[in-house]
Amino acid sequence: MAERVAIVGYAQSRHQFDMQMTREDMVFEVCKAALRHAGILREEVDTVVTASTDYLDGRTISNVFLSMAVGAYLKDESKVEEDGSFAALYAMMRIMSGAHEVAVVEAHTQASTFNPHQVSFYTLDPLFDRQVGVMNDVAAAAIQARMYMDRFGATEEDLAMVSVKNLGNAAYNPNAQRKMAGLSVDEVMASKLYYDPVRELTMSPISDGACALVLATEKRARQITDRPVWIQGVGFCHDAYLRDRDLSGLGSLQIAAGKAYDMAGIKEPMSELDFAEVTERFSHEELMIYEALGLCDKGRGKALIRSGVTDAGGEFPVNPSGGALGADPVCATGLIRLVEAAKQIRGEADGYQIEDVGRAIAHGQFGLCAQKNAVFILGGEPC
Amino acid sequence: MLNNAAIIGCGQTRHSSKHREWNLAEMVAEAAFKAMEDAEVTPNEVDAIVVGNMQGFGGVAQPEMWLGDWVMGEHKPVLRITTGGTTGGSVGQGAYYSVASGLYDTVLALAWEKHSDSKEAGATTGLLHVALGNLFHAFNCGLSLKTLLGTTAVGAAAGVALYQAKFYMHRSGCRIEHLDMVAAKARRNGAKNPYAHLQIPNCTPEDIARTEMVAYPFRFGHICPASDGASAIVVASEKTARKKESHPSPTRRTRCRARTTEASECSTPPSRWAPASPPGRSTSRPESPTRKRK
Repeated sequence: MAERVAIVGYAQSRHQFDMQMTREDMVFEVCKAALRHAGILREEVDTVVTASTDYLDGRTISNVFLSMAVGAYLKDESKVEEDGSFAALYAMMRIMSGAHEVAVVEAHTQASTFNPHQVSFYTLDPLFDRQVGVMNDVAAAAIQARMYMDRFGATEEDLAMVSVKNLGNAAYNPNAQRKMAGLSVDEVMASKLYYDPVRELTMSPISDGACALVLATEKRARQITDRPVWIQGVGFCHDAYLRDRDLSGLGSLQIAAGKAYDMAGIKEPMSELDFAEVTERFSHEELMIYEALGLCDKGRGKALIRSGVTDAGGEFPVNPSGGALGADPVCATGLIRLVEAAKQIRGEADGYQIEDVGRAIAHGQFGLCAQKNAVFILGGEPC
Repeated sequence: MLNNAAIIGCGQTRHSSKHREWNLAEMVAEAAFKAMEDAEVTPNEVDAIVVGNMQGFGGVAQPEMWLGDWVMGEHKPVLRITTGGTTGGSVGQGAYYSVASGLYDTVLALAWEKHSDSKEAGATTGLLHVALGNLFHAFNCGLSLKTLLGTTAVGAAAGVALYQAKFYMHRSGCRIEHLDMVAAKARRNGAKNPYAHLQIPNCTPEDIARTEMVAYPFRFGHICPASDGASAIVVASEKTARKKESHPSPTRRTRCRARTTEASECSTPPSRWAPASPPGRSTSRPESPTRKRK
């Protein structure tokens, strides 16, 4: 590994359905807060990588007027057009190459201006699927959920238990949008059905939100903070198109996780890591993520959620912040997972802090049925 | 410490206004496989792919999601970088950083545009949206629609760029005849490039001057065409590049060295970027960007 990279500062907005702010204001506030959190000035930043998509922002070249808001004016700026976790990865590459020392990563989506589910239709194969016109991201996820449930015997109750856990956790997270303490499985099962078995409470809400992260080289990180969070391993992977892959598993996540574990020198993720922050746009995805991350054997995700191991107070908490079911500003969600993991490691998660956190997984995804996945291994102590 | 990276192969399609023989995925694959053949790497040797095009111009959002398979992207890291008109360069930078970071050894960078898939070339409607937010802001500040139309700001890319052109002409004393000369030179050069869209041998400034005035000072001939086309490069680490170079293949050797563009060169002293002298070759002559055959 060329250069060790650390997270030295972060910030996120209060995610909500309608931010009542312009995109530029929202992004500016978050970037300013992240720099303040790191305790550095805009002049000390070498490079900025943003993440958003033109479709979700509702305008072409959506980053052009954001360069001032993210503090990238006359700086080496670039934009990754997918989830924020990929932007973090690109910023990390920029630092590891030795060309830059301090990077700001920013990701945002204002879903209240443009419905992300509507956009998903345009990511389909334009030659067939789009012409047929029956599919969108929720329908595709429902097909995936059914395939997974049929193959491994997971039930709708298992899916509901994921929602109960994550929405309950979200109640303690001040930045989450959908906070539902004391939710019951029956209430989830009674919520509105969109595409069987996807219900209102087993899919992520539509959120406005932004998130920013400050990354630095080892040398700069030690100058900036005494509690840097090290990125010990990364992996990302792209899967085949919806029709050409095995939908009942997350093959690309498995590969990405394998690479990240190799880089961080992890053999047994369940025992060597302490918790995970994952992007589950739909409840069934969390069960599939457990399996792909190697937290349990294939098809045993249902056993993990039933046993309560992944509860906030369990042996291996998953999504103590509420995850994507708590708030899902599409492009920012993966970056928020990184921030939440870093927050726990630094012991700054006021109200939902887990005890004895050393190393954690942060996961981001993008595309229909989690087609692309990025996995980060974060740790408080230098490896 | 900076890791060196080298471009070891390039490929592009012929650029033209309508590629009806290929769909988007096939067009991108054409360039991708040309680059991989040029670099003498197999798709399995490519560790990661960086892609980009202008979002929405071909009418597909996140096109790499479905065309990833066409360029052998399945189960590989595929990163999408888009920065508007600079996407091609940004994608090249992405490939450079992927290699220079040490995370990947051989990276394929791909950029494309298929304007003819849109009902009208995206360059007009798409780019108007760039200014749209600011135009609405101007409305809020009291600009009337009539004034706005009077400023020809609605001419999208050309409409906005003419302010820059006028300003530059005013300051520098450059005249419209000079713009004609630039356009004529480009078209004459294009005639020698088999991939170029507009190939007009013996094009003279007078030919350009005869084209229709679009918005002063731009004539039709001053404005770039909206082309269908894809291009690709293979970027590899210094070690791999040297290995390919010493490979006893009579037809090729790698000459180009990837550098990041202006921004990185500004941020690091130029001396650190000086290319290492290739063994057995004079360093006094600057390396030619074109590939020399033995």
